Amino acid sequence: MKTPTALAIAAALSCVGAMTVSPETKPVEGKVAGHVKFDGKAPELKPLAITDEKSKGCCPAGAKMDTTDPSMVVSKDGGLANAVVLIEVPGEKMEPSTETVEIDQKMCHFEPHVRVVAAGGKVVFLNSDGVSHNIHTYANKNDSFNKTVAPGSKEECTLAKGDKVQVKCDIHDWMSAWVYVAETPHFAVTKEDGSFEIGGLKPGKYKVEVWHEKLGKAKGEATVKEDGTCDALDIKMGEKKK
Amino acid sequence: MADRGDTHYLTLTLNKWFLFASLAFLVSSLWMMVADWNRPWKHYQREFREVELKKAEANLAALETPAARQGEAALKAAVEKARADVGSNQAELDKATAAEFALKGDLYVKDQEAKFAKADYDWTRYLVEEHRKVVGDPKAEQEKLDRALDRIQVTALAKEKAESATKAGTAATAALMAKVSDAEKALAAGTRDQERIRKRIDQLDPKDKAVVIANEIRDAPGLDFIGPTLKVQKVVLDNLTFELNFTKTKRVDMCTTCHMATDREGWATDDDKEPLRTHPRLDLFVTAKSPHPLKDVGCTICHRGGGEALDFVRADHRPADEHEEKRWEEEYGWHKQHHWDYPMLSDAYVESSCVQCHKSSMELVADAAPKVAEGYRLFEKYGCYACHKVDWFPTSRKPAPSLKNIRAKVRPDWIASWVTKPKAFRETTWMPQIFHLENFPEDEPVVKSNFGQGQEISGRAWNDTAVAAVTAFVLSRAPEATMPPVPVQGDAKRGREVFRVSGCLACHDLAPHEGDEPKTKDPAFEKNEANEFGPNLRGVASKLNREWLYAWIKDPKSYWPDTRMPNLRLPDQDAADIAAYMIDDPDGVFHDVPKGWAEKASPLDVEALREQARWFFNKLSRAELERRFQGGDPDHRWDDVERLKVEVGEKFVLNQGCYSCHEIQGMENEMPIGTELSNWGSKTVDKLDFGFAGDKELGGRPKLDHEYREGWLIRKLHAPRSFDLEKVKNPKEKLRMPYFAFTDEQVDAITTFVVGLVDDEVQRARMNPSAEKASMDAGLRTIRQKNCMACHVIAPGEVTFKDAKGVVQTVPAELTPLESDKMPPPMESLAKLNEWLATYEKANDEEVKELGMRLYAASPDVGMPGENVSVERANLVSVAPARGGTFVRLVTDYYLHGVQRFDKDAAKPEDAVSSVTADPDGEGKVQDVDGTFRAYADQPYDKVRWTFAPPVLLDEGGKLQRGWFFAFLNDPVPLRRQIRVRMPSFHFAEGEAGAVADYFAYASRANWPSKYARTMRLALGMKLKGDHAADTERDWPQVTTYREGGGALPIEDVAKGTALDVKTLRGIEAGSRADIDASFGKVLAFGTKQGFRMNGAVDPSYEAVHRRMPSHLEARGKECAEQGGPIALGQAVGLKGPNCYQCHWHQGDPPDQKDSPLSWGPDLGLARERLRESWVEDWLWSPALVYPGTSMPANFQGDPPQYQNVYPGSSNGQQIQSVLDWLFNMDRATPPPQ
Repeated sequence: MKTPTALAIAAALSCVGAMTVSPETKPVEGKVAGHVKFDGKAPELKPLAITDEKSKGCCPAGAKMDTTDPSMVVSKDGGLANAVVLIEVPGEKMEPSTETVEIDQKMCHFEPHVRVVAAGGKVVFLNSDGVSHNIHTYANKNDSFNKTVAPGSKEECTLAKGDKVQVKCDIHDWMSAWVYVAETPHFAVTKEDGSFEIGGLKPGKYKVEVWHEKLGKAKGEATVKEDGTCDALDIKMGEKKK
Repeated sequence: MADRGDTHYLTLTLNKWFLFASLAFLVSSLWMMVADWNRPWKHYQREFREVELKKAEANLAALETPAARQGEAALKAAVEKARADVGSNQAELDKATAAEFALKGDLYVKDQEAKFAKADYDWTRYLVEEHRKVVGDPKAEQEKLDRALDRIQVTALAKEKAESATKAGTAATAALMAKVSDAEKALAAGTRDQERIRKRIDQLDPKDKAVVIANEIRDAPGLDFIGPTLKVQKVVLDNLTFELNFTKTKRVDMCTTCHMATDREGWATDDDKEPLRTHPRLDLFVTAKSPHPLKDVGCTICHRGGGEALDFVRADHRPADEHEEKRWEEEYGWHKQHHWDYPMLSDAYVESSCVQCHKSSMELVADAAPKVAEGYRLFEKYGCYACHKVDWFPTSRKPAPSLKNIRAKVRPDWIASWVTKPKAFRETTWMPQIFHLENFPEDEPVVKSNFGQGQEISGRAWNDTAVAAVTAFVLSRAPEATMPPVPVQGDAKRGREVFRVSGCLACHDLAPHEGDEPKTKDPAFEKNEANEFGPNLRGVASKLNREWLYAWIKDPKSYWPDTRMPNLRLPDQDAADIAAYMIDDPDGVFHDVPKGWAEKASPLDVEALREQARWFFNKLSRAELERRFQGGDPDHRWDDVERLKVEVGEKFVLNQGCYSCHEIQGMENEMPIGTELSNWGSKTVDKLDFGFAGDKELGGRPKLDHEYREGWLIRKLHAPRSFDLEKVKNPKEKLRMPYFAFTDEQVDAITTFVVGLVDDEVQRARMNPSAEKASMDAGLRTIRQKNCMACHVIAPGEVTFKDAKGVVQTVPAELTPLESDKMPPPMESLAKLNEWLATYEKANDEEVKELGMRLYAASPDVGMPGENVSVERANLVSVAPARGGTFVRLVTDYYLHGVQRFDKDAAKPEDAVSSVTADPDGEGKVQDVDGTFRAYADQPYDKVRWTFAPPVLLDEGGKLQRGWFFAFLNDPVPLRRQIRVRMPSFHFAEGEAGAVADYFAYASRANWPSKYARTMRLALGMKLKGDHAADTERDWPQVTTYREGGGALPIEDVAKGTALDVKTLRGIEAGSRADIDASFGKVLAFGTKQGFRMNGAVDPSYEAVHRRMPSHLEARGKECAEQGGPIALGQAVGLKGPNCYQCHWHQGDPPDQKDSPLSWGPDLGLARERLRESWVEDWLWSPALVYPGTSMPANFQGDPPQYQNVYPGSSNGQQIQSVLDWLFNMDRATPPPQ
């Protein structure tokens, strides 16, 4: 039972001045922004083992199968993509979300690879490919489901409880996506360069939590100043120990 | 008459004597009456009455809530009002009543007339017949006869008219009174429970003074023989006898005279004390509904003791411990009844009694009687039956390895050290210690040699020499043999993986030696309930050689035909790799022997050896012995010590009965040496030799309890030879039972079993199980003896929790993995779970407040199979593990994490432990069946579990065709080709494989009604959606799949609809046999009426595959002629729809995803002979409902239905039916063009 040991170190470097100028009447709405970075030298991931046999029908004629492993994408300067950043505001009561997010299946990959939805929200799974996929969610607190989605069809599911749901296609074993069901409305997924931005926060001190599918969890702290700005937050995540 | 003075007595004196005698008689009569009136059991009955009254009043008070009181008052008022209404119309009622009375009178008259007319006719006919005979005219007096006949007709008609008039009259009165009677009925129905209790209260505590006085008189001293209210209660058991002074007499049990509450529910609070307590298992005993009703079984057949005694002491009650014994002596003057041969069994051993009737169902009663069942299993595991005959015992294999080829396996010195003390090598071995036991004290002389003329031989020398002799003899009976070389080069690193994934650890553990700090903390090495089936393999390689090990792994039965180790059909390379892993031992476990273990020859004392020869060959003359010692007998050259060793060794082996457990060349027909135990439990205590060591404490072993068989047996099992202590015995007379080092619990369990081996005193009551029960028992036994449950889950775990309403629910479920872990938390016990969670919380800096679980069966008040439910940790009451499948966790853990390996030479301690697989690149990949290494560390637990771990056997009888199952067990065929765990070839004995197949079939059939009841209630509460409403009837998979937040139908509604009470329904849902047998029909009728339909009531007899029948195909052919017939249509749906061939093997061909074993499914070509159609239908509707967590997707749940281009206008149900047609006729399908 090895669990990812998060090496969480929060370091404030420079202020980016992320500020929203607001009219006097409105309360200050600030945001937290920064980067999630990989601690140390990024591992070189091998391409996914996708043979032609396995990916038959995945791509239109002439297109090449993308074999990049999306489970750990690190930019040149160490930015970690696909990490989920969450801020929980103490005392804030969250209504069940009504939003709907989409995950598409394109050329036998889930698009995007990581999605966050606030608890109560709905996920719609599309199939833009010419082959059948099956959507198999591996939820722990929400109901899992596993249905075949023919080309052009869609399936949806509602995720009511905070959870981490891995999504797989059992037919194409490399296909994997994550739906993070957040129990807070303040969240973001880091971009290619590891950057993130979470708005809609009142001035104050916040605890920031980061989750990455391979690196586990990390924690940080951010302060939204009275003018809505904050010092940029860099969070480093290290490889879990074997 | 005047005193004449000549009598021999003095009247005055006589009068005095007379007075004295009369007074004495009077006093003693009064004393007798009072004593009889005052007997203890009457006190208990009075007390019972008082407590019952109190309980009844409390129950009534609980029922009489303010609402209930209001309701009752309203109903009473309604009755009053109805009466008043009728009263206002009294005149009419009076008139109607009078009319009815008159009509009834008239009817009586008419009825009488009709009867007279009939009698008159009979009489007339006789007269006429006689007259005709006399006058010789057959037509005479015809007129008279006709007249009588006419009268019958007329009076009958009149009676009929009067009848209908009376009916009308009664109806008229009833109509006037209808309101009143309806209101009264409503009152009775609404207050039924209260009235029942009130009546009982009135009986117990009569309000009527006259009744009180009458009761007092009935129970008054001296009058209480007539018709007392306090009575002796007895059960006369015609079928059950026991032996009393050489005759069989009927059992009469009067226990319930005092134990009045034994059949009453609700007498089990802390305030309720014996004898006024409820029997702890009313579901099994005492009640009429239970399988052991009091009136048929009584009490003493199980509890023993004096059934006819009405007194605490005479009933031979049995204290649980010394503390209780002391208390009883003070309180009741208790002492053991020395002249009663059937002392009561204390609660600790009461399960003994199960054996007398359940010999042929020991496996089936195991859950209800765990201790005696454990004793029975230990009796089998330790091979007790090999020396001690038990006439009905179902196992007869020799429990220990064959010694016929021992030279090929181990070295001579190893044998000597092993025989000296087996536990020095392996603490958990079931081989007992035979030598160096307490009846041969090490430093005391056993005997003075040479007929008292020679030296003193100490116990140590005697035994050391014996071991040397036995070793020499055993070797002498095995040929010199070397094993053929291993045909391929083994790879230890790969062997580690093969060892791990093939299933070795399912039956073998590698737990560290006692007291050793384990170098490698590998959970797979720890003992669990399944892996002590085979020996602990730690240190095993130190005694073996590579060639023998390879041959053994390849085919265990070639070395030991009776071994329980199955053949895994491993390829040469795999077997060689395992052998290399074990012999080369890179992990340092297979050569790790306990401290103090040394392989050495047993010291030999030649004089002791000669003395042993003198004892064993004591039929020879002294001269002959001497001649042999001098080498004078060419056949017995005893001057050669080696030859003498062999001859003495043979005698020791015969004397100690080694051949009872081991096969030894030339000793196949020897008789076992132990006492027959078939009736041991009936042996009276005075026949047991308690020896002289009764009060000695032997190293913490218990003191003897001379009064009871159990006491003797406990000593015997703990210190088998201690009865020899302080006795004068020659070495040949000494006790021979070996020392097993049983734990206290094991001794207790075996004792419970052996005490139950009584004379079959209940011959007529002995259970004759139905064919179904018998084969279930045999099936369960085979499953246990083959250790099937090490790999296969046969029942899911259970979670008990408080739901949101505070109701405690127990559901079949598995906990789901926590946020930062892949493996689900363990469910062995709540304590273990909490311990695990504490470690988890610490490691992940995370507080676990809530746990998720996935339901494994329809649980109406919680959810449907596959549904995930969260439970607050504080509301968790208990957890229980799945039955079977401990290996699943080990193999899954390997795929996800590899093996934890310990490097003792590591520079830093944190580097010492690493995780490895056989991956040559060191990336933690695992080799698949096609030889390719693939990474599985990032896969979800479920995916790995359902793909690579041994399959679950939930409802297996409902899934498999019995014939195929039977054939598969005998000769496994590749089914799930991606799995590296091997389904072994077991070499079942005759009947065993069939019993296993039958067990699953019968179990599925037995479970079906409760599954139906639960699922029906769930399904009926759900909503149908869109297309599905039109599909078929309310078939369970499709309905429950579309739950839409709908809950189950409240159980009260079902109770109303079925006219059953809630308790019975809960009983049915929980699988209570009695409730199902009595009331399931009503549930089924209710479900059918609601349009609910569920597949799969199993009939385990031969089952035709409906979809292969010409009639079916012809009918379907007409329906889908346009699409090319049913098989072609099904094939089109299957292949152009979801494309089953993407993942499934088919008729031996690999799936399209042939490079991805993680995606593989079983061979579809096997479906037609392997699967039951109804199961496949459920499976296609919703795989997750059948196997929660499976990788098989629901292919036909599209809303609207998918694949319209293949099968235009079809519903999901039609698509499924057409795929079924194809699956079961795949061999008849035209292959699709490539």
